[in-house]
Amino acid sequence: MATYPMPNEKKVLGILENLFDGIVVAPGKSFELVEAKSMVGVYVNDGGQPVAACATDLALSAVAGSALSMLPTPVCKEAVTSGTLTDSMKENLKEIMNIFSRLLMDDFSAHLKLSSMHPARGLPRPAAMMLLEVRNRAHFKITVPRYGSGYLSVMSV
Amino acid sequence: MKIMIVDDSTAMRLIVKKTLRQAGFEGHEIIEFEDGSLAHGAIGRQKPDLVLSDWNMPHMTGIELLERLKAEGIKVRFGFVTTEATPEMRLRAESAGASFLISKPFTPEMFKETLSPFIS
Repeated sequence: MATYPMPNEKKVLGILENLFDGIVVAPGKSFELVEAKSMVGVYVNDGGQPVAACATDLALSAVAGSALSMLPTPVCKEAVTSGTLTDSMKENLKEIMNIFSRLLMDDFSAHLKLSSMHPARGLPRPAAMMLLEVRNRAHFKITVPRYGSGYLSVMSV
Repeated sequence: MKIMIVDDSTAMRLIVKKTLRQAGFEGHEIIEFEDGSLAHGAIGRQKPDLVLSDWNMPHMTGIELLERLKAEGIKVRFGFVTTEATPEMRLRAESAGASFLISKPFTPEMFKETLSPFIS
C-alpha cells in the first residue's frame, strides 16, 4: 500500500510562510473533528480513492480563510464566535487545502491531490470510511499574526 | 502584454495578480478564467501572450488544456502555477510543452526569476 509522509513543523512552516507573513507553527494536539466544527480536505490517489485528509478546527478555518485574502480581523472573530465561516473564507480555505497536498507528498511518495473539502459533519461516506483507517497522524498549532491561532491535523492511511 | 490567468480559485487568481505586480510586472492586460475549458475557448479568440494555468481544475485540467492546444496547433506561451511540483509532474509539464512550472505557494522573487524571460 502506498504511504504518504507525515510533515513536521518545519515542512508546514516552509509551505505556509509564503502565504502568511510571520506565521508560527508549533506542535499541536488531536481534536474531535465534529466537535471542533472542523473543515476536512479529502485527498485522493490517482485511482480516485481517498487516502489522506487535512482537518482544520473552526478557529484555524476562520483564521487561515480570512488571512489569505486579508479579510478584516473582526470578520474572522465573528466567524469563530458564531461558528459559521463566510463563503469567502471557505473558498480561501479550499485553496489552502489544495496547497496542503504538498505536505503529504515528497519526491518519492505516491501522488495524491485534493478532491474536495467538507464540514466534518457532512463527509461523504468514502471519506468517512477512510478516516476510520487512518494510521498516520500529525498535529500542529498554527498562529497567523493579527488573526489568531488554531489547530491542523494531517492524516493518511 | 496580454496575460491570461486560469485557476478555479478566485483567491488564487487574486494572489497571482498581486504577485505579478509585486514582481514588477505591472501595466499588462490581465484576463482570467476559472476553468480550462473556458480558457480554451478564449485563447483562440483573445490570443494572450502568456498563459499562467493551474493544473487541477474541473471540466478541463491545465495539462489537458495544454495538450489540446498543442494538438490543435495553437501556439501560446504556457506555464503552470500549481501544487503539482514533483519531478514527475514537472517532466510531464515540460513534455507537454510548458515553458515553466511555478509551485504553489510562491513568492514575488520566484515569479520574477521564472517569468522575466517571458514578460517584457
